[in-house]
Amino acid sequence: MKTRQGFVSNSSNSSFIIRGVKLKTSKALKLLGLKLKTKEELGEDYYGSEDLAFETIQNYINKKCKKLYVENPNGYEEGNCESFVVGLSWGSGEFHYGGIVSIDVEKEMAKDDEILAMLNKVGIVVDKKDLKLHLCYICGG
Amino acid sequence: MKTKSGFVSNSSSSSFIVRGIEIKVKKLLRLFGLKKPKRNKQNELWGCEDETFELLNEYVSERMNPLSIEKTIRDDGYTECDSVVIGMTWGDMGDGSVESINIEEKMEDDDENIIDKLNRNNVKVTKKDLRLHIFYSSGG
Repeated sequence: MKTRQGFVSNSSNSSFIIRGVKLKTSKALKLLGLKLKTKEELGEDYYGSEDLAFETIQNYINKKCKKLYVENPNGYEEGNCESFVVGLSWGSGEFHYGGIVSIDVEKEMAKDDEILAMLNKVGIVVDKKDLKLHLCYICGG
Repeated sequence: MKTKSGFVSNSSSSSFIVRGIEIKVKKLLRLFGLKKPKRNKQNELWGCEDETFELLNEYVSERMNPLSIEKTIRDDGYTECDSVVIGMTWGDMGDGSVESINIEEKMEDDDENIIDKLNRNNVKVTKKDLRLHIFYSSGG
C-alpha cells in the first residue's frame, strides 16, 4: 500500500489548501474515460480507503502529473466521496496544531497558468475563472 | 451593545479565513492610541479574560466594521497573544467540509475597503501587504 501524497501528520487529522477545481467523482470518471479499478488492480497504488472511484481517479492523475494534488474531503478512512479537489497545494499542515498559515495570494496566483496546463495535461480542461481556493480540515478524532 | 465580530462556536474548535494583515498587539495598541489594560482575573468580559484582546476587538467592532480581529493562537480564553490578524472574514472551516473561495472576486470586492479601513485607523498598508490568513484549531 502506498503512502499518501498530501499532508499527513502523526495524528489522524489532515488538511489541505488547494488552488484548483472541485469535481463530482462520477462526472470525473466519465470525463477522464476511466474504468473503476479494484483493490487488486490498484495494487501497490492502493491507499487504503474504501472509495475506489476516488482512488481510481487519484491514481490516474498522480501518474500523469505528480505535482497535482488530489484530495478527498471525506478523509482516507471514510466512505465514498461525492466530489474531490484537484490542483496545486498552497500549503497545509501548520494549522493542524492551532497555528496560522499566511498566504501571499497574488504571488501564488502567478502560478495559475501552470495549474491550468497541468489540469489540461490530465484531461481536465477548465478556464482561469474556474479556479478557486479550496480549504479543508479533517479532524480524525 | 457590543457584539463579538469573530468566529464563535459552542465547541472548543475555532477557525477563520481572513484577508488582511497580521500585526503585533503592542504595535496595534500604539497605532490605535489605546493603553494596555491591567489583567483582571475576575473580569469575565465575553467569558474571556484577555482584556487586551477584548479592548482591541471592541475598537475594531466599533470603528472598522465590517473588518474583524482574530487571535493567532488557540483561544483558551486567558492566554494573551503577541499578534493578531485584522481584515475581512472570507469564511471558516468546518470539519470535513470544503470551503471554496473565488479569490479574484473577493479581492476585487474587498481589498480596497480593507486598505481604507486600516489606513483610516493609522495602520498604514498597501495592497502588497495584504495576505490570506488561515487558522484552525480543533480545540482538543
